[in-house]
Amino acid sequence: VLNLEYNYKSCIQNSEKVSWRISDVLPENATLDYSKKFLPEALSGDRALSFLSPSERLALNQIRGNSYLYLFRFVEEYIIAMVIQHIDAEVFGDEDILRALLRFAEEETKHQQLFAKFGELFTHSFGVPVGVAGNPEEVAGFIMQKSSMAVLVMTLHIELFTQHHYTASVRDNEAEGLDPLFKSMLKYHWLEESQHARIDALELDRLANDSTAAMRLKAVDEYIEILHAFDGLLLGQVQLDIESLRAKTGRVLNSDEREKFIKAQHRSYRYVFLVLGLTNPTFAKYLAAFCPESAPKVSATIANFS
Amino acid sequence: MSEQSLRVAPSFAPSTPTEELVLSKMVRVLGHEKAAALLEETMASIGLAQLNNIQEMLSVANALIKAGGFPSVIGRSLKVYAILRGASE
Repeated sequence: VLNLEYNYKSCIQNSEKVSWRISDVLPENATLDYSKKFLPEALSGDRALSFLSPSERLALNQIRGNSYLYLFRFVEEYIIAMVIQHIDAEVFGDEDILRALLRFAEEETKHQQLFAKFGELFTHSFGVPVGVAGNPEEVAGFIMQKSSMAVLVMTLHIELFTQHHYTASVRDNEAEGLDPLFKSMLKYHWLEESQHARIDALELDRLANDSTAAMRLKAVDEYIEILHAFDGLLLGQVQLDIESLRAKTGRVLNSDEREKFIKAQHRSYRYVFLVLGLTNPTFAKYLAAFCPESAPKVSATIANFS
Repeated sequence: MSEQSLRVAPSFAPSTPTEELVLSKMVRVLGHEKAAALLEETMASIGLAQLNNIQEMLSVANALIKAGGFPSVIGRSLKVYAILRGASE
């Protein structure tokens, strides 16, 4: 269905080449440089908030950096559950598929540990408590209620926008002087996510081959439902960021500023986590092959989130 | 599942892609003869002459789970495989 140009064996080989340890990326004595931004403007959207001072925008950028990695940790909760299901299904089956999936699960668990370790470092060094969206298990449960193809489409969306974030906004970005430790974490995360996106596509292709057009259309509907649920989570995170900014800088927004902040930051979160996935060229190509009838629904969803 | 049926070389050969898939997993653990005998007997026990679709695969998976031992491990894997492809209890 998807006409893919790679296979599970090549994913294992590539995964072995780029494999890393948490201690290589975030050693015990690692420190964050709070004079620098964590995220590029393209992923933080702080420039639109002209009523904030440069130091307040810098603090917000670092709050967004923390929530950015936390949200990955959050979604990896369900991704691990999903991959474990696919591993269960492949027991006594094809060994290349099984190995690729086992590596996928191990790497996602490692990413969760890396981001948890970063979260501890940030919490201790930022100086004030920072709010992050709660109940990853609840969100994982909501997503896992959907059909396996919908869950895979959502996962592919995430893995592909992750690559786009790094390659388009971080990798060659010298101009914004990003914190080197943060930049390095994004690089190592991206290295392994590249193979995960391929495994998602391979798994989706296998399920699609055993499905009907009606099942694939239903999967797209469910994927869009997941996006809307995720959007609610993102709006909640914006509200938490306002409180974190106040705690860090003492800045209390008036009602006009608060309204502008919520509008601009919600738009930024949507762009980063929803629109960049929906409009990713590889994702769009796969989705069109998976379900040609999905195009109008996807266009409407992009318009809704833009 | 009788011990006798597992010892006898069966005449059973897969006739559908679903049967081939199920049998291939069982062969990995039990070897061809025992696997073929077990699959034939399991299908007979739930009244299936042929495995034609994912829903029927789930029925076989549930019967294998009830059998216990290694067959139940195969059954659990087949059950997840079928559910991922849209089978329902």
